[in-house]
Amino acid sequence: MLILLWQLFVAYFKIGLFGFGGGYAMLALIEYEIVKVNQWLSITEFIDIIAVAEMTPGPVAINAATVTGYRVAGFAGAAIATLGVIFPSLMIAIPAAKLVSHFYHNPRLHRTLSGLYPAVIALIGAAAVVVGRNAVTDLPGALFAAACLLLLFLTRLHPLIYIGAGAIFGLIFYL
Amino acid sequence: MLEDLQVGNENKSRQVTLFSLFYAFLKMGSFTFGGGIAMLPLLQVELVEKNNWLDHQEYADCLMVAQSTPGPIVVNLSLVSGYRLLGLKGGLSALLGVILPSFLLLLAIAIFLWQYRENPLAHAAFRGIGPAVVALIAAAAVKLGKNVLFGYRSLLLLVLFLGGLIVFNIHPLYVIIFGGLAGFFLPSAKDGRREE
Repeated sequence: MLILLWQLFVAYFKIGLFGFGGGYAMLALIEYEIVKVNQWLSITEFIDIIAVAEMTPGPVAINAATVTGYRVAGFAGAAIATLGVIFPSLMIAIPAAKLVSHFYHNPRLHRTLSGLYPAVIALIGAAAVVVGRNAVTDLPGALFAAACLLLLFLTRLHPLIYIGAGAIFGLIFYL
Repeated sequence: MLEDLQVGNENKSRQVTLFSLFYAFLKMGSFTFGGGIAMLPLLQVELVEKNNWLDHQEYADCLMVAQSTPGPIVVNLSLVSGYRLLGLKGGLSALLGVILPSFLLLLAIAIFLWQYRENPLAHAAFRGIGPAVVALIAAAAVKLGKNVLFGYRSLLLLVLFLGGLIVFNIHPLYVIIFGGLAGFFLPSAKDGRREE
């Protein structure tokens, strides 16, 4: 049990430590560590967690950590996994804030961070592909995803609307 | 510099206490849907416009630090802005406020609702939500990419990283490491719009 908790902590610590660029960019990391390497969640559970994360408040990484931790090791697991994912922030964000003026004026750091942009976009793209491979399984699904994508580019509807529409689409086509 | 950050809030219109800070972030953590990013504009209203705890420049500074350090952006932002207002205790209260709602809610979902995922109605609904989720993620990649990728070096790196991740299954953390190294060592002649 202790070993399991330690593994949970380490996995989510890694996700927090390398999680640049926000929630969507962290999805690829979460999928790799939690679904692929440790196999604590199935890919469908992982996709359902993203769906739930879109419907509930709060950062997706916290949502995923809580559910994974609980499913693997109960309440202690949920607490440890969540602690793991916020721990790098605790160590890094505040010291970084103290150096805020250097952040502005150090071109090298600026360059390093701008080098992360392609990496972050690649991670989000890869997450779309991984989730897509498993979530889009037939023609109606593909057409629905394409319709959503089109609307996402043309309008500024709230993400919850797409989730609601997806649920209705699912109840019509997959029940 | 530490002192500079912590003074500065004397003539703010509303006194900030550990509890009011916790409560402001608790509200944000409870009522904003669609992940952490959806919270950012509302946090700005709460911290800057409504309570006057930070001015626009201070909020922008906090946001910049939050986005350029690893970890969930809202978690970083709560730590940094809470710290700026009330020191370490402030950072921790804000952090607790912002993660407590989603932790408790997801815990409740994991305990009481996760087993009903196999129920036919829930299963059908989730199967339909899947493609919508794919579209949301893909659109985020394209929209964000349009805003931050300039020049063909960025695009080349993007293609390399995507190929590595999708075709060769490399660990995402290597993509982050190589991205940082490439930015550090390669001359940034082409994607210089930010440096102008």
